[in-house]
Amino acid sequence: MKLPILCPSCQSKLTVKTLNCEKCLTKVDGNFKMPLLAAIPEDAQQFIIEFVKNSGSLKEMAKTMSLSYPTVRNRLDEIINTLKTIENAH
Amino acid sequence: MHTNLIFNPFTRIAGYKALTIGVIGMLIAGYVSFYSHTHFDGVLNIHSGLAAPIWIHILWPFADVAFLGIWFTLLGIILSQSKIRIVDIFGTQAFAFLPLVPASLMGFSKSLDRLSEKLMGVDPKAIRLDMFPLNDILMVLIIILITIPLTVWSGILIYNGFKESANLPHKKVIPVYIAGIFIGMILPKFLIGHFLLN
Repeated sequence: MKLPILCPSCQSKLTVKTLNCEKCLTKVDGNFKMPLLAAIPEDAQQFIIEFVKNSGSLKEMAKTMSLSYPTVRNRLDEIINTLKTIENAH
Repeated sequence: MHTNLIFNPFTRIAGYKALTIGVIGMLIAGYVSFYSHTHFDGVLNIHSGLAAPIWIHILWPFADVAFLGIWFTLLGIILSQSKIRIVDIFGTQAFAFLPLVPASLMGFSKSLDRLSEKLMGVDPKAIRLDMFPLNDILMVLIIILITIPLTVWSGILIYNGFKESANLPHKKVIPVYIAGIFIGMILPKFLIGHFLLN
């Protein structure tokens, strides 16, 4: 299920009101801001995780993903632009 | 990232690997074209009937790809916000030459030369189909039917190679590509023809 990040009514950023422990069912109420990474699509989040796991090496990323270096770099640039757009919009 | 690998293999291959494969293809094409008297006298240009030293035949594909590499690198650096690598531009452009390698064989058929000779100096209004042997007409048609798709394929690879390497949108790639192909069709022909063949 895709995490909603914008209010469907006014398009403002949503915050987290309740956190829930699945084991003991404890609930924590508050007003938590969502991290910037939560605002990007799941495949982009996965890309960033892989990027960090590969020590930030695009060459290694390209090897493990069986893609060319420019394709991986283009994907990273695309994610950077998305993050900048989200930051600037809010 | 789902792209058609026939027309855009550059999501999988670029850089030194593409450059090495492309250079091998260009050497083969140059070597074969020496014996077939074919020459790649400009980007996406293939002609037959030139008997020049072997190094000229080998130089021509390299001149075409080098021009595209330099052109796309300069424009890529100016237009792209990504950190582009020169080896990706040159590698993809060298790889894009590969569909033209089989076209180096076309000069082995003498039909093109015979047809050209017969057409030389003939009044266009006086040209009749029965002036040419049927075998030659059929052979030329076969050569055209083979080389045109190969040339189009190479042209598509040139486009996608630049787009992938420079990370540019279509609206920026299209004018750079058209200008590059247009200049590339003329400049290597002029430079090699003027300075090395005369």
